[in-house]
Amino acid sequence: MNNPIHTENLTKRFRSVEALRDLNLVVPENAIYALVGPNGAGKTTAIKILMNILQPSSGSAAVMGHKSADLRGKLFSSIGYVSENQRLPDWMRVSAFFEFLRPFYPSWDRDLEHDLIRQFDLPLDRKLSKLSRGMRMKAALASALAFHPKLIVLDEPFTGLDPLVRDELIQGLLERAEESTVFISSHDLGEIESFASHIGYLERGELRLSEELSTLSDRFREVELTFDSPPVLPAQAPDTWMQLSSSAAVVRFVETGFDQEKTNQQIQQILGAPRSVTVSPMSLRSIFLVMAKAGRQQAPESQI
Amino acid sequence: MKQISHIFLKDVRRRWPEISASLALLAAFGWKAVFGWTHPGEMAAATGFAFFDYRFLAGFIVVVLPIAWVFLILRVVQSESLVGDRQFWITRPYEWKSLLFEKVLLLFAFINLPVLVLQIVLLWRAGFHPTHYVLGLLWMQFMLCLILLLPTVTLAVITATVIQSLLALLFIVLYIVGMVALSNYIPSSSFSGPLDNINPLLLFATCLLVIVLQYARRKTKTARLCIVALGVVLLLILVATPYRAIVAHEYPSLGSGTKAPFEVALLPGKNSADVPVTEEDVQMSIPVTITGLAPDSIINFDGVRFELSAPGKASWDSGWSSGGRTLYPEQGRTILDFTLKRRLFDRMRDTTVTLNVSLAYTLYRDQNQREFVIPNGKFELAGVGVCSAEPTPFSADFTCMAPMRRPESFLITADASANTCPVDKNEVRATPGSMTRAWQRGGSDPADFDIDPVQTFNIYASASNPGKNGGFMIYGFCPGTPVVLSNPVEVFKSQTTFSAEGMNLMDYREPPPQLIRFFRERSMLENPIKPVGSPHLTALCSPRKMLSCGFSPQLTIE
Repeated sequence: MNNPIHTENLTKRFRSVEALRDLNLVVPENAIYALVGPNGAGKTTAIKILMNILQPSSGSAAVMGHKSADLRGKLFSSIGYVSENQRLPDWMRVSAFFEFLRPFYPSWDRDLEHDLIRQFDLPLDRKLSKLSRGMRMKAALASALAFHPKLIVLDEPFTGLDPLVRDELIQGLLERAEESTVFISSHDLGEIESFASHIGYLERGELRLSEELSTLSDRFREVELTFDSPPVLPAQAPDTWMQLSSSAAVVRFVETGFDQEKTNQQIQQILGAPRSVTVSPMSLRSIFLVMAKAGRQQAPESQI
Repeated sequence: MKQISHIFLKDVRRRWPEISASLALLAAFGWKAVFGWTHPGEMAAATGFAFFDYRFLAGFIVVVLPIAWVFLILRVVQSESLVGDRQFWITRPYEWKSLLFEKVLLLFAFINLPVLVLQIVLLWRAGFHPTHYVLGLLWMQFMLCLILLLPTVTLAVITATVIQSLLALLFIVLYIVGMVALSNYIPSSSFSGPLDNINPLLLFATCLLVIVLQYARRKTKTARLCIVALGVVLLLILVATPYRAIVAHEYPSLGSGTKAPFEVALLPGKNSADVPVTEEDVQMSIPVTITGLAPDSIINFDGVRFELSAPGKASWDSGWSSGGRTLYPEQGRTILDFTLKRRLFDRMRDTTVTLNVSLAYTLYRDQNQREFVIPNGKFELAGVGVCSAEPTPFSADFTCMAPMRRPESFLITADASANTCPVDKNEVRATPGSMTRAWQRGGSDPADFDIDPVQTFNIYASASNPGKNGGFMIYGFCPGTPVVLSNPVEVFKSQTTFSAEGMNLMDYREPPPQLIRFFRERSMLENPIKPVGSPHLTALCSPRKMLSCGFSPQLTIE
């Protein structure tokens, strides 16, 4: 099994609405793959199809070497899935919840369970319905980690949580994720940036990019050029330039395929020789803000 | 197996209140059954009403017990709801077969098994050895599953919550009401026929399909579509069934060379032109004579169909409707009733019409006759159960307790003149030859559908030819009354038709009850003893045997 998650032209329609369109996604083994995108991009739909909660309209998805539609029963004993919307058995106390789940998993690790309970500071005698949202997420995550899953799928696990709980969750996840592949959808780009190895950007049901995070960070740069006099902006800028704008003699744009030599050459050819050039690396948040804005301006079919 | 027991224990811990409630109600049902046998007068003699008297509790338990079971089933099945995409368990290593088996096991453990235990105890308490009725007990469990558990589980697997289930139930009830209303407009659809078994079969097959589909695939939309498709198919069956062809097949006419077992002829009616026609539904009563029936034969009219035609004015066909009336050899007459819409009646009333009456009947041969004198107290009747015939102020019938089911065919015949029941004021003994009959007919299944394996029932006596003695005649069964017991068996089914030409509808109109009462009172004032032979002889029944007098508007025996 090379890629724990692999989709081909995965499409999902809800009546006339196309929630996913030809999604081709590959999540390598042992990666921490973050699927990001604005609200309604199709992240949760994609995850639900992967977990066999929804059926695709067309295309295929394979999870751990099995068609997602066949994912049931024993196959879930190596997959840990946590979602912000998941309905837990609220009537159970935390201890009973773990006790109930234990026999389902041959690889359940009691020591790990105790470690996670201690680390997440879970109150064993309290009912799940009486836990705060953060505590419930921690209980769900602990129950999804305690059996050493080969694949951990997390759907918006950090939504609505305070920073402290978020840190605790991420720390707990990272400490136990070395032997696992993690597939996570999130809005929290700042947190994702700190631990994701791969990133996918989904917008309007289409995967705009999917690559290693380090590559992405390397190729996105904010460029600020200062000229002696206001330059004339080209009618057709290079495809890799986004958000090209000028203010008096200062021109700014985002280079999405940054290469020191090539970018300099393009600047010289299109705008002439600047008095000064400032190239700044971008945060993941900034990168996706740029992409989201570009996505809204461009036709849905256009690719970055 | 480990997973099954694990989920089972979880459900028991979770659902113990519902389980306890249903077990307590079942125990109360057992108490109600035993109390009913040991205090037979409680039901009949009670005249007042109190919230905690036997009648109230018995009725309450009978209604609430199935509701408690339905609630338990919904809660247990929906503990792992199959509807929705947020349940935590759907992404956990649950095996669908284990989950389904666990639900079945739980329902068996807390519904079927307790019912079985209770049934064994009740049989034993009633004096019937449970091991003699294993087949019947299994049949009762089977019927409980088919009629209550399977449909309720189906409802539970296509809904997420009890509220959703109740809403779905409401839709189903509306659908059934609609189907019943529609059937009123489809001629012959109310007549029971061989197709009656198809609808339950379709229902059960669909239930099984939906349950397995939901557990194996959680395809709620498809499962619900299956239910909708079933509704459509049942509707199509109701509308498109060739009822008349089926009746013709089930009740073939006798060949031209074969003599019919009886002959029917129209009697003159009683003109009611002096009573104004104000009713929207005009009741028609057709008195007929039945002749030629062999002494050991009984006829049951299973279905009846009326056709009226007034040349150049109108014609009308009632279609087949259930007959449900029985004719014994000593009966010479009966009345066949039907209803006409006022509009149609008005179009035909001033002209002569032709009436065609078709009768679908079953001929029975009265067999295994043996004489019997009713003893005091309880006595055992082979093939029936334990009976008694102690008269009460309200009836003088057989009251029997039978294991598992009522007898398939058990007839009691008595000469009412030999009746030994005490004679009350205004009552008289019947003249010799006045016959009393009581025919108990049950199903042929190993057991009746019930929770109580001990069937308690009355075999009602009715005067098949009361004779002409004046006053209220005694015709029940009491200790000391000599009777003949027998077991009629079916010989064949057939149909016959008779026609009456030149009929005047006003001669056969039965005025509304309030007008009948008015004219009866007037008639009684003019002539205190009404002449026997009138179609309205039911007025001569003794008040304490009112139940046996056949006040049914469908049939009045002379």
